[in-house]
Amino acid sequence: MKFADIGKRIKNERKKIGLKLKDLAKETGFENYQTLSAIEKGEREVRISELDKISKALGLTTSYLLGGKEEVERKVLWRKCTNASKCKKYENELNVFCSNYKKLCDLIDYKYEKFVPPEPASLQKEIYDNDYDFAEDLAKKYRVSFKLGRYPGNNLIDSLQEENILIFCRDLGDFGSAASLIGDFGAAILLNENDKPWRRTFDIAHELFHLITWNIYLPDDIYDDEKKGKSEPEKYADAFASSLLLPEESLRDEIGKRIENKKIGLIDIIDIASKFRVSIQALSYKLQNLRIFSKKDMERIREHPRVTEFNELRENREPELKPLPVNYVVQTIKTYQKGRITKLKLADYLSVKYGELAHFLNTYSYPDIEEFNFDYIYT
Amino acid sequence: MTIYILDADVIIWCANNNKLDLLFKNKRIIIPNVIFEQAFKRTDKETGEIKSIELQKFIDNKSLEIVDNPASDDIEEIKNTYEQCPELAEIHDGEAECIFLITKNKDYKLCTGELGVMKVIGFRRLSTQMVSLEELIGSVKNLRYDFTKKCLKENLKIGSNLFVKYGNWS
Repeated sequence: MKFADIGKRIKNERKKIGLKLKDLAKETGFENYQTLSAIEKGEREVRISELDKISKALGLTTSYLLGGKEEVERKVLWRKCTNASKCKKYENELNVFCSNYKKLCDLIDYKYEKFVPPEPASLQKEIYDNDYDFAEDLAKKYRVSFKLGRYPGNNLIDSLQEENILIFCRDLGDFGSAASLIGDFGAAILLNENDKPWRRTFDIAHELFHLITWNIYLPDDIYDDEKKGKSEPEKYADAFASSLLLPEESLRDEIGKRIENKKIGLIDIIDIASKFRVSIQALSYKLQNLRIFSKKDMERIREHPRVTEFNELRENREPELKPLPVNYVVQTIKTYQKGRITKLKLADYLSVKYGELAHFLNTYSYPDIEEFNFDYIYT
Repeated sequence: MTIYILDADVIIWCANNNKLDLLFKNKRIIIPNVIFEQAFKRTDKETGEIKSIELQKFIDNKSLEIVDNPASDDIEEIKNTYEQCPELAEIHDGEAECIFLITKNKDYKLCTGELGVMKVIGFRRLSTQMVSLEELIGSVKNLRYDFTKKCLKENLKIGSNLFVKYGNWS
C-alpha cells in the first residue's frame, strides 16, 4: 500500500471517531501535528512505531491501516452512548478483540459452541399478554439453563463465559454505558469499568436480554437518551435483568429467614442486596413490586439520605472485574503454547507491554508464561 | 563489523539476570523502536512488581541504537509468513521489523530466544544471520535453553524443513 493510501485510511478512521488532528497527534506522541498531517496527506512515510501508536489510539490494528481488508461492520448495541464518535473508538476496539478471539481459535483449530441468538419463533413471544411478561419468563428460563442458582449475580459472569459470551471491561468515561455485540465469533458484552460493581452486574443481565432477543427487537428501537428517554425494549431489558438477578423464591426465602415481628432491619436489606449483588435501590423496587413490603416503606429506603453511601461501603467486598474475558486470555495462552503466536504477539493480543506480561498474567491468577510449557497425560 | 539486533526477550532476560553490561560489551547493537517500547520494563520475578530497564547508558555510549523503519508492504509480508505454513507462528510487528533488517543488511545478525521467530527465519532462508545469546555472552549459569546455540540450530532447521514442505519455490 502506498504512503498516500495509508494516510488516507488513517484520516478516514480518525474522522469516523471524531478525533481532531491535533488530538490524535498529542495522543500518539507526535511533537507537532504537522507531522501527522503530512502522513495523512501522503507526504511523509509513517514509521512502524508511529503506526503502532496510531492504530491503538483509533482502536484498530496496524495491519488494517496498512491496507488489510475491512472487516464486516458489526452493529454494536449501546445501552447508553452520549458521544457517538467516542463510542466508535470502543466499537473498533471491541470488534478487533472479537475478531482476534475467532482468529486465535481458528489458528489452533479450537471449536467452541458460539452463543447464537435464538430464532424469534423459538422464543414464542406471541403467547404472552405483554412484553414484560415475556421478559420475566425469559429470565426464569435462562436462570435455569445457565445454572445461575439461588444468587444469580454471583455466578453470572462465570456462567456467561461458560456460554462463550465474552465480557470486556473498559474505561468508557461518562459517555458510554454497557454495549453488546453479536458476530461470527459469537457474542460479547462491553462494560464500563467506572460503573459500580452492582451496576455492572445489572448491566450484564440487561445486555444478556439484548443478546437473547437480538432477532426480535430492531437496533433502532433500542435507545436510552436524554431527549427521547428510555425505549420500550430497554424497559423490557430492565425487567429481565431484575427478574434474572432477583428470583422471587430465593428472595422470599431470604426475607423469611430474617423477618421478626413482621419487620426487617436496614442491616438485613443491605445484606440481602450484597448477597444478590444488586443495589439497595434495585432490591427495594423488587420487594415493592412483589408486594413483600409496602411502596411507602421501600420509598423510605430509597430516599434514605445515605443510601448511596451504604451501597458504596460494599464495594470492598466485590471482586474486581478484569479488562479482558478469562476465556480470551486462556485462548491466547493456548495459541502461544501450540506455537502459533510468539510471546511478543501474545502480549500484543492481550494489549499489554511484553515486559509487563508476567505481571498482567498474575492479575488473572496465572503464573508467567514460561511455566505453561508442560502438558499432563490424560489417562 | 557485525551489528546485532535484539528481540525483547533477550533484553528482559539479561536485565533479570544482571547480564546487560556483558551483552552490550564491545558490540554494536540495534533495537527497533517498537521492540524497545515493549522491553524497557520488566516484571520482577521475586516480587511481581514492574521495574524499569536502564538502557539509556548504552544509547549514550553509542553501543545501542534505536531504529524506526517506515511501515511497508515488505514488513507486512514478513509478518504474514505464518499464512504460508500452518506450523509457523504469527509474529509481532517488531519481530517482523527485525527480520526485515537482516533481510536488507547482510552484516546484521539477529538474537532471539523466541522459537517462533527462529522457525520463521529458517523458513525464510536467513539462518546464517542468526546468533544465539549463548554465543553473544558465553555459557553463563542458568541460561535458558531457548537462548542456547543448540536450540537455535534445532529451530532454524525446523523452519528450514518447513520451507521445503510449504515454501513458495517459484
